[in-house]
Amino acid sequence: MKHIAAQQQFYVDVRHYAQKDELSYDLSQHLPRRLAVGPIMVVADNPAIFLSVIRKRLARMQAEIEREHARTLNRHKKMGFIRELVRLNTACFTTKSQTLIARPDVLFTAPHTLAGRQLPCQTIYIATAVSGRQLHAVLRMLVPGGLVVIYGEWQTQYAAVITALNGMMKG
Amino acid sequence: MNNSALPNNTVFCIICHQAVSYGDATAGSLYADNTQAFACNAHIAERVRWTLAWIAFDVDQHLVRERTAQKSGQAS
Repeated sequence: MKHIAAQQQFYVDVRHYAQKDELSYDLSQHLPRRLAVGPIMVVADNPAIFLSVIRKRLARMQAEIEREHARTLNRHKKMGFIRELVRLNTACFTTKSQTLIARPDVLFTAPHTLAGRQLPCQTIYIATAVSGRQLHAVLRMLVPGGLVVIYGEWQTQYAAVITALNGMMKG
Repeated sequence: MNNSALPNNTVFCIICHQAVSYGDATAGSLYADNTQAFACNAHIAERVRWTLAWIAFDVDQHLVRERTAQKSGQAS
């Protein structure tokens, strides 16, 4: 975690990557850990393409978990693997906020669609450059104690947005 | 062990069981009491270890929640 916002209102994690591959790997490793915590939003330039990349990586992870499940006789470990597989298999990943399901578990969206949205999230991954205004819109959807993960360099304008938002929350 | 016993600006890594600074950690799932659990950033590169450790952690916390619910059921 590179930054912790004042008042412990939320956590900000700035994660660096050299190639786009590293970003999708890091996100696909991290995202399952946040699935049980609550709804997730992923902000990316091409949400549909990025969702497909993440799905492929998660499918590979599921195969690894199935292998580990077959390898162990430990009852608790088996229970953990089954719970994880069920969670991954039943989670709703989508690029459409208006679906038949009342609330998707993981919504992939583009930065320009953020304005005016009100989808409370426990975790928000920002996998592309966003403006200060877009970051503000994202952070307003984050529930108290939530986590925002920003991939790439920390922009100086972000600090001002977080300070302003903390002021609003305190007020 | 969770983070309440540690000095300020450090958190407990659920994978290597060391105290680490916030700067070297990332937030994952939650403890049974709904407080935030963390792991070292470095472990995310260890694909299988990262996943298995968090799965084991989640099961432990699930069992803690169940035991707590049983105890409170018995008490009432």
